Amino acid sequence: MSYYVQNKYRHCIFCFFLFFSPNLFAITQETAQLVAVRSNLHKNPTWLKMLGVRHYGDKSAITSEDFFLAPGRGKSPKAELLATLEGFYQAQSDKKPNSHAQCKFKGRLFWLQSHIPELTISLPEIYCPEFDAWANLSNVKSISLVYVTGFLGNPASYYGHTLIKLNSKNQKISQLKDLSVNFGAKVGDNENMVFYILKGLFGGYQARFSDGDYFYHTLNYGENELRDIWEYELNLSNAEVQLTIGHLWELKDKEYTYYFTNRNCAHRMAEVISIHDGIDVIPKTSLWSMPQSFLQLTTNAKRSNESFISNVSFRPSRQSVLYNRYTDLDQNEKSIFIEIIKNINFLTTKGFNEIELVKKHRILDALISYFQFRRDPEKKEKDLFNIKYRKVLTTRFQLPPGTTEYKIKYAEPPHKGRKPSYLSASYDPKNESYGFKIRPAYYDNLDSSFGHVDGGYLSMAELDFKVTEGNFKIQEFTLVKVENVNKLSTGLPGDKGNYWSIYAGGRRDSLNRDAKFKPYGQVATGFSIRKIPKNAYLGLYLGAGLTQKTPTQDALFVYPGFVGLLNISESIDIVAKYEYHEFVLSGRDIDRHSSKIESRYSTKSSSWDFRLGYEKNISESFFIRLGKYW
Amino acid sequence: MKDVKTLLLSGMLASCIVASATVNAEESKSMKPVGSGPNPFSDCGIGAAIFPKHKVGAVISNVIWDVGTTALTSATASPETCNGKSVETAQFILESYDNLIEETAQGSGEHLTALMDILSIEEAQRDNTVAQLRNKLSHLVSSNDYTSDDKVSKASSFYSAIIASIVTA
Repeated sequence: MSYYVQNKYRHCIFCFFLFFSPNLFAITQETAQLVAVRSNLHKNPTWLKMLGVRHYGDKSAITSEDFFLAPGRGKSPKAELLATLEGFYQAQSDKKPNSHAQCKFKGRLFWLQSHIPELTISLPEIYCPEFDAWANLSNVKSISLVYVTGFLGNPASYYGHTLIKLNSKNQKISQLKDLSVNFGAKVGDNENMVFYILKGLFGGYQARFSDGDYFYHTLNYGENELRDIWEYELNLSNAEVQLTIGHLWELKDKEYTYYFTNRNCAHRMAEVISIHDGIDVIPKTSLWSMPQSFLQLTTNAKRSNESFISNVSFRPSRQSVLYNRYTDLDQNEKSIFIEIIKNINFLTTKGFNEIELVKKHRILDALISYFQFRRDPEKKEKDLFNIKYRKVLTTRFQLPPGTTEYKIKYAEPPHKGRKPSYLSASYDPKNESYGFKIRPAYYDNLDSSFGHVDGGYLSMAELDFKVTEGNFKIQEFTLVKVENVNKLSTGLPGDKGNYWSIYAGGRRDSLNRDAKFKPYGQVATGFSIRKIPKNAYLGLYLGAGLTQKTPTQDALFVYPGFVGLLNISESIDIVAKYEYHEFVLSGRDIDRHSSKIESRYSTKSSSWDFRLGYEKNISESFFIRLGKYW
Repeated sequence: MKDVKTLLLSGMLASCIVASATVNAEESKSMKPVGSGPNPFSDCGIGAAIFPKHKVGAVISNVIWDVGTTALTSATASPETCNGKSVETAQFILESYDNLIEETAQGSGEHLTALMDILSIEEAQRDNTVAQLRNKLSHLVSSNDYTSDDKVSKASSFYSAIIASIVTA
């Protein structure tokens, strides 16, 4: 006991000198461990985040055993801290230099060195060739959070995606070769769709961080999936850049259990970024983590009144390039553009030759984007667009070189959009009822903007209920509703607007007070008409659905319908919908018309909106609604 | 049957000797610039596009896929023939082909710059290299056969063209 006390005090005296001495001096492993524990580093939020531990005493979210040096998968952050320091002091094996703790846990090393500076002169000098080659620390200038917008052409991409990019110092070197780190689930080939959904929702997949050249992402997202990419450069010090890289390195290839809704790319990227002092961008709701919410938290974060984002840049998708290039053409250029689409041989006429070179470049570059967008390379010469693409390309080669600039018109930075969840209260004066709506995510026809599919509808787990004369009734529960309208289409041949929708959920079969609540599943497909004012969209469609069979109504029904969108001003939009449901087997008079018109007022990026609407489905309903985004 | 086996074994042995000779020859000129050796498309069997198929109908938003894993399908390819830099160049051309050919037609662009970075082409040589590349590819694209060529074949021709453009720049 006496020895212990003496020893303890001896360390305390040592600690005193350690803390107050201006000069660094080497310390032993035991002293380093004592200093770390006395400084409560094992309880430090950053240490817990770096271990993947949510609360002190919890197991880590990382399931790879080799991520831990102490038993218990991070359950004891203190034991892990002590084991880490012990590992750092070990001599390096000549046979496996990269397996040394200092090489494997670079993030922990950088962080502990920042808290115990003596470690920089006390630890054995270790050579980590794999890390040095991977990180190329001296060449990294900064780190960017990359946001890939969602799109409805592929349901796998509805909510957007995030990844991290290490920006190289050399401005002359293309960013496409920068190192990027991605997080995603490991899904086998030909996975059954039902299992795919269930496993994604309930933790049936493992996920991990992976690395690769940035250009693989720009090609996959921008060229294959036609999704815009936004790059947000983080305002980090050199030491913080180094710490992030070190942490990404130690996380690389480590496995997590994947949950699509809340333990996804957004959550894990937020954890990485939140290791820095004064930054906590992990979405607060535990039920879901939306990439856009994480992005907004990151862009709103401030330290010492300085923004956490130092620069924002836009990388348009192939489709956006086409839209922007086309809309940037003047009227004369547009007519030539259309003429060439109709008659490719116009390229060899005198009329084309006489056009000014800069104009030729602008027209040809827009045409290259157009034909590239439309053609199917696999069909080779069977697809006429491949032949036309080659002819345009050939003409471009035959002209003197020169790049063309174009204004970016279609680009709404996703961080400036509203928050993704919606809560509203409404009043129906006709029926003297109150309505409430909760939509965890994401947007409807009237409030889609900034990185959403303009005019589209994407909602999951939306609950709509009414209170009439003190009676509470669920009016509708939307499990999933997706409505894709191609509102942004140019109207060019082949770029016609299309329409499709899917719906799964339950709702009252009319607006009558005694209407029954039934399950519904519906799909519809159609097209849009563009020969209307530019600020309007009209989609026409045919659909089929299934619902619960009753003695007076069959289960199967078909329906034609339309959706019209009108953008009156920056802050006022109107949607009108009509459907005629015919229950195909009954022949009784239960076929039904349903119509709805709704207008919305809200300033861009506002967290509030105000709506007025009228709805008819046997009975009528008027509503005044006030909504809040959160 | 025995003759067939003997023939096969002899063939394999001969292949090994040839491969060994190739390795030795490559070792002796290990300082040659990237791309001055064989074409990695034909000699290293680069062919498989790495991108996953569109998972239309899938719900999971962020599925991982291993980037940079274009298959080297030829088991006999020696590491010297298919050194990292050549394969990296070939991979980049294959995956970015459409961007590269369009940017070459325009005379400049981000992908073209990245390619020249990979090939370590000196700043002073770049304009001349692009001019020569444009000239070579202009003939290729203007041919009617261009449309019927597959992507690997086009990428392979692009590879040869840029290598030839560097040498003569």
